[in-house]
Amino acid sequence: MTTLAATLPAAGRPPFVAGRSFVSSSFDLLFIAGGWSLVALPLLVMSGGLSEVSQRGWLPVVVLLAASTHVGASTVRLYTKPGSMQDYRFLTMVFPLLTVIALTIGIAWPDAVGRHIQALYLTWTPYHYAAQAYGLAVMYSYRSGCPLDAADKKLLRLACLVPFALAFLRARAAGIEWLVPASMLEQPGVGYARHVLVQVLIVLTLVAPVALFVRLVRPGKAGLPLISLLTIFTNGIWWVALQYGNAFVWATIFHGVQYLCISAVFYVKEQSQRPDNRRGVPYHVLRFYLLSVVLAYCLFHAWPVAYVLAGFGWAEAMFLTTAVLSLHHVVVDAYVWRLRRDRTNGVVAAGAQPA
Amino acid sequence: LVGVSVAVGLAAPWLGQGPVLAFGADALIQARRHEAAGDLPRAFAQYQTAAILQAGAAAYPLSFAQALLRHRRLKEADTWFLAANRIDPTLAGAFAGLGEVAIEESRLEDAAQYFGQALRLEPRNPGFHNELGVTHALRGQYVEAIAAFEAASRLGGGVGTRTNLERARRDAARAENRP
Repeated sequence: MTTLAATLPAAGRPPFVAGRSFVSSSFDLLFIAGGWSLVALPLLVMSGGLSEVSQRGWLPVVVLLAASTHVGASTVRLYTKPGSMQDYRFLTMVFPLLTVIALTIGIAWPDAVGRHIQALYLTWTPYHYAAQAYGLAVMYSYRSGCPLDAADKKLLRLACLVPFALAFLRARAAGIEWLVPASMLEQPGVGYARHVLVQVLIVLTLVAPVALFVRLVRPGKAGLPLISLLTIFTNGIWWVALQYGNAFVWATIFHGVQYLCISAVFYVKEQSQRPDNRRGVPYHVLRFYLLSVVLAYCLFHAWPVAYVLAGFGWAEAMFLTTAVLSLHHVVVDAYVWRLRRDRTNGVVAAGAQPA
Repeated sequence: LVGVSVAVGLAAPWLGQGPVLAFGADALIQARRHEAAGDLPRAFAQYQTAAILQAGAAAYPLSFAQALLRHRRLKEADTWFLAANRIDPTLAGAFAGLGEVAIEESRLEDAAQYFGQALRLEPRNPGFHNELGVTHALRGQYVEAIAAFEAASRLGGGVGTRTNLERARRDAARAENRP
């Protein structure tokens, strides 16, 4: 583990710190904070976004290796986390069954039920990314010796939620269009207000993280680490730089890479702390990723085919499997990343050795 | 149950039942296969479900509308082209589709407007120039039709465009010679 900026005594603190990394400064900035997406985005915009790359035929492979695999990774973490079967009985035993039932009902009635599952997935996903940006930003602040008080956290959460609000308003057939009747949204005044609000949120998405960063620079106290700022900023720019449909696909890929990296860090720590551990870090990283890829392939790409062979259509099988598994993932995530109530998570996030 | 389902799904590609890396867009590929095989109820059901579930992505209602147009279900095609247009007003294909429906329904003024809008979005599309030329020719506006077919030819329009151009020139000459 490399330290980007050591925790300094209060009197000698610089106004801001880069942040204390998990793996190395460059790795964390590029992959956990999503810095690489700032390089990839201009290339995507110049190449015409999704349509161009999808024609090249490698998009399904990228989606499998990053987006689908990150969903698999949360399940791998849940079931390999020491004590999770005892701590999360409902989540590990009952919730998967409910997921299968929900998926089957959605596939059987795609018009009546499936479309709402799909809309829920499309609405909730940007919130999930915002929550991850917030979680990572707080985690880096915490481990970099930059404590945030309740008011700071509230502002940080608001800054992280701006891209979600933007996605909610820009979404087609999801978000506001799912929850508010079309007849109301088609009113000229409402349509105009929505358009203006979207423009305001685009500006806020870019400005709010920087404004927050500046606001938290206070004499004698370390502000928000730069890596936290980058984490919030990248999550925002995904929704601003690309059109909504492309943004959804690419945000999922960028978020997936981010998630896989931070999950691998926690997984390796958890496995390394097992009393019977005989393996090194590369083994655990490789095992975690391969397990996640195999699980993702089975769930996202093989499971829907079984529904098709059972007589259902491709459209409902493919789209709703993705939607339901992703919803399962966001619920699982809400539990496996709890820092306060989870001793192992807290130890890894703080970077200290367990007592 | 999930384990057995996954095992079946894993074996399926090796038994010729679906691709190795099944993907959302495969829904459209499968729908086209049903359509090509003449199984229209299944094809339309797939197109429609994909369009409903991916109601925020214009490509799905557009594909459904184009399939409906191919089978001359004009009213439904019009509805789904409009749906695609609402989702993405910059989608030239939706305007062109609305134009084709309008031609089929002899609403030639509407058709000319739709192809004009499609061409504003994709000015170098020879197919749109050709369709605009057809619309002008049907309205008896041969000068405009010839200009549109010539533009289509310059942009790489195929044999059909050249045939249309020659025919429009003949019709224009005939109209001029008419007492």
